[in-house]
Amino acid sequence: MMSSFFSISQLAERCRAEAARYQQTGQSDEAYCLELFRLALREHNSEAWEAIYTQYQALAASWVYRYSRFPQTNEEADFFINEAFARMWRFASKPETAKKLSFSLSKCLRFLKMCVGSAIEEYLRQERRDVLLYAVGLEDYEEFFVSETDAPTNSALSAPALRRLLTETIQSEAERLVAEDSWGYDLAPRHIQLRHPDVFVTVESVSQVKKNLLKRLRRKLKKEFGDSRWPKNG
Amino acid sequence: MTTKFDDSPAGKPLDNNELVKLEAALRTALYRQDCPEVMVLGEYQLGLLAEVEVARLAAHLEHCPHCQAELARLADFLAEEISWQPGEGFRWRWVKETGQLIIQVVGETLDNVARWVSQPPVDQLAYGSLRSEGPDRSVGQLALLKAVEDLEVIIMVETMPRQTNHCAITVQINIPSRGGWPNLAGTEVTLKRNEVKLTTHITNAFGQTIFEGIPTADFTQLSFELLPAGAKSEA
Repeated sequence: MMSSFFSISQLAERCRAEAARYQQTGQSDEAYCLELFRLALREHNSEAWEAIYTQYQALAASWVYRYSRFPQTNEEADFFINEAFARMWRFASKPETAKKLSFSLSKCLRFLKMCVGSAIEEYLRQERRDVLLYAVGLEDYEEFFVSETDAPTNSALSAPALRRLLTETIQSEAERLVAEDSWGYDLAPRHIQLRHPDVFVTVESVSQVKKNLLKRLRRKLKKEFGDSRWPKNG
Repeated sequence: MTTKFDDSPAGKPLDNNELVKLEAALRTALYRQDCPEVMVLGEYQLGLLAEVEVARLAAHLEHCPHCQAELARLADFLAEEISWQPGEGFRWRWVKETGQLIIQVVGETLDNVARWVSQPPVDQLAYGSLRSEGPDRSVGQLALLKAVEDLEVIIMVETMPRQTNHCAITVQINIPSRGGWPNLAGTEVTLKRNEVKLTTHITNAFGQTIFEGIPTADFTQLSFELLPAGAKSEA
């Protein structure tokens, strides 16, 4: 092992020098940088991980700025740089993944680049969830659903309970598709019809199936939980 | 099958506001509940997932438009440093470190992608014997010859007789250093649609494999990833 001959700081110094040589000549010896990744990911050496962060944070920043959806986040680049390194530490230090990555510096850096993209995508995915949550109105949502960790009561409706009731209410493949696409994927009837033209001949038929399903679900909710758990109108 | 009737009890119209709130509650309870973390999509793209996870994720990707879009963006982002080379009706890139050749169909319709030919190319071994002749079929091709060292690819697309909304696609791989038939077996050909893997075939001794029953409208969204036997780096 190279780490038997070099300290972490010596490895970091040589890694930095080789990276600079690569910038100037297109050639380098990747062994030192790779050894830092091996120590960090396979031996969970935090000093090696800090050296990697120092060496590659500028590269990670350039990736953040180049990601097509970064401007939509309205966040600072630093937020995603830190998140990307945290993701790499969490996922790439799993033994199987660490083993696959530790043979090639380009694979390690490709993984880090993927972490940058995934951090931004996950952020925007969560933001979309938050928008849906606030569309309900937080007050109503808390009134409607109990926390999944609360003790169940006769009048308590949790999100899993609503999912169960919906499953019990669905009577046909057309209704299952409408439920999945409308609420699982938040698609408009027009898109649902385009996705399943063999099931839905017109956009109106999608809307009608949805309306029928909602009405039956509403009746089932009232029967099982009464009106007490339902958000007030208006 | 569609349900055309309104099955609410007569005389009890539901308040529209209630339905709107119920829909909103359903969205918060269901929205992307079955979607994997984006990191898992990334690991899939990098080929780091176990086989069982790949199968599960591929099944999810078949249906989920959001995960398809996220995966496509990640794939583009990861590939951006490797420049695409232009071809006639397609673009291609060769990933030297893995020995993988990727061919992506480019165009809006099958007609403006494939160069239509009246006869299959004469230098393609046994192609004629594999396909039945018919008056109402069209044969087109994409060809990548002499661009990548020791690897030639012809992709033949053939509309099905009396079923022009589906086609059969023959991928013909030639590796000149192997001396032709019968030494051309073993190239992995992975067919993808919008970055989602559909299937993987292995070429036969003629260097051929055929994908049948492909919707013609899908052709312009297809890509082919070719990995000749022995080319894969162990790193």
